[in-house]
Amino acid sequence: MLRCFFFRRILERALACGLDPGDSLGVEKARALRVHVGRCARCRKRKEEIDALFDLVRSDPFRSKPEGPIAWNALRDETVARALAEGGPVGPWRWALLAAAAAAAIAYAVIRTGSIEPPALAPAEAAFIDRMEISQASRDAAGYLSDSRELLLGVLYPVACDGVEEGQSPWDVSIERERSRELLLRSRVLAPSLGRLRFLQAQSLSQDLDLVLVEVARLPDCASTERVSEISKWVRERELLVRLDLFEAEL
Amino acid sequence: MTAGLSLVFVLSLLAPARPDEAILREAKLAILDRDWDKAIEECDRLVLLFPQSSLIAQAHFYRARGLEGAGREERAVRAYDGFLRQFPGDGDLQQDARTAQLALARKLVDRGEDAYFRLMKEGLSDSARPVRRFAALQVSLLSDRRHAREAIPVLVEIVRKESSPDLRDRARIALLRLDTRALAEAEEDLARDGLPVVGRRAATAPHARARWITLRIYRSSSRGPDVDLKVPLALGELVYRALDEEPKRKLREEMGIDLENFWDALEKLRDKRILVIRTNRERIEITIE
Repeated sequence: MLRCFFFRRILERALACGLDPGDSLGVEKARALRVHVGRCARCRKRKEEIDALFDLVRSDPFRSKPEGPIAWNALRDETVARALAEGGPVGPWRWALLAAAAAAAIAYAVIRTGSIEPPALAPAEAAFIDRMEISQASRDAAGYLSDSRELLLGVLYPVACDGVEEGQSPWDVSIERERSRELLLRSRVLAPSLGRLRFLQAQSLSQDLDLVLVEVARLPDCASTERVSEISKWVRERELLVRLDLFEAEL
Repeated sequence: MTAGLSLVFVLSLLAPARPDEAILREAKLAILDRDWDKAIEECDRLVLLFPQSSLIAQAHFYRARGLEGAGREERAVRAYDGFLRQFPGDGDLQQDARTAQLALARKLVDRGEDAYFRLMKEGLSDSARPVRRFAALQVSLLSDRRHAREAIPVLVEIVRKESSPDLRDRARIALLRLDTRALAEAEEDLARDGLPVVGRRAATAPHARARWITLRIYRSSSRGPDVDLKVPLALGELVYRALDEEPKRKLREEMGIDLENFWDALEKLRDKRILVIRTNRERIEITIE
């Protein structure tokens, strides 16, 4: 026979998704649930509370039909307020049930309006994710600058291509060429974050690096001294390595 | 080797440059100097004087870049478009032109120029994987959530298949904002396929099921949690970093947990089930599943 513990687990899982347990269970579980509820007074009372909540939600997810985008947070708050105003539920499950009712209201609203947009994050949640994003951007920026530094060193001090005497051109920049494409993409991905983080100097450095990276990406695998020298000249004139070191340390 | 290179470098500077090369070099130097108008002018000059030059493609590309730098976004988008159409064979510059165009389109759409969203949508189905993935990250940043949600399928693809951890974590954060259910499915797929799930721990600890951190933050004035997030374990380090200074100090001083050993602390949570940090302002609960 189904025990109270399992009954609660089944309900919790359904409620966590904002689903009416009666609609969301398979045939076997639904039958076991019915049998248990028929025999256990405490669980029967909980089931009645849940049914009442879902009836409330089904009856009218909105006080009035929404126009334009749905204000999801308002819908959630309104559902909770209505459930409280009607006197239930009570006991230790109270807030879990209210949260489930709010989730269910949103699910019904989705069905009714055809919208599939989930609720917007609560402001504190959005703020926390913002902070995670800032940390990520800072970490990525440090990685990007460090990898760029390695690449520039590879261009400044290239090795001779296979079969060529050491110290003679053409120079093997195949690895740098390949990595420059990846770094260009990373730079583009980072750009909005650098702006948001107010790393304005890093932004300016990244722009300078971009041009160098485009040039490196255009080199053949075995590059002539002339082409490598031109890039080296830019790197030195713009003091890119020193600036990279400074920002890496700062980040 | 360095001395040899320096000598050839000096000689190369003495060699006479072709006039079209000299103009393009001026344009590039102007870009480095942020002299956008001069860069555009030089590129125009090259196109006008040397229409048959082998450097024409570059001239068009750098002209577009000059317009971008000068903040003339709409003209820059058109210039990149012209470059992409006229020189489809120039693969090295094509990808950068395409991503530049997408970044510009995002700025324009956010400024209310909705017509440019079409360009971003095209990016989402671009046959070049880096462009498609870049487009998804750009679209996910749009302030219009309905537009931003168009990126979800490609963001899921990034989480499941991207090899760069940076891009994968970015996609995870974007999905945290846009669709946690899609993120959950992507993480489960990733775990089932046996690919890395938990960042730097991946090589030594593969898991058949995706693992999650549930973070709940209760501020004293509220009854329910103010923050209730389910975050992939891979982003554990970012969760730690995003905590306020006070809980981080408490973690460090009272439990000996800092960024370095946060992973170990999370692993141990499997036995203890829950990590609770109390400060004057809030109660933070971290659980692992």
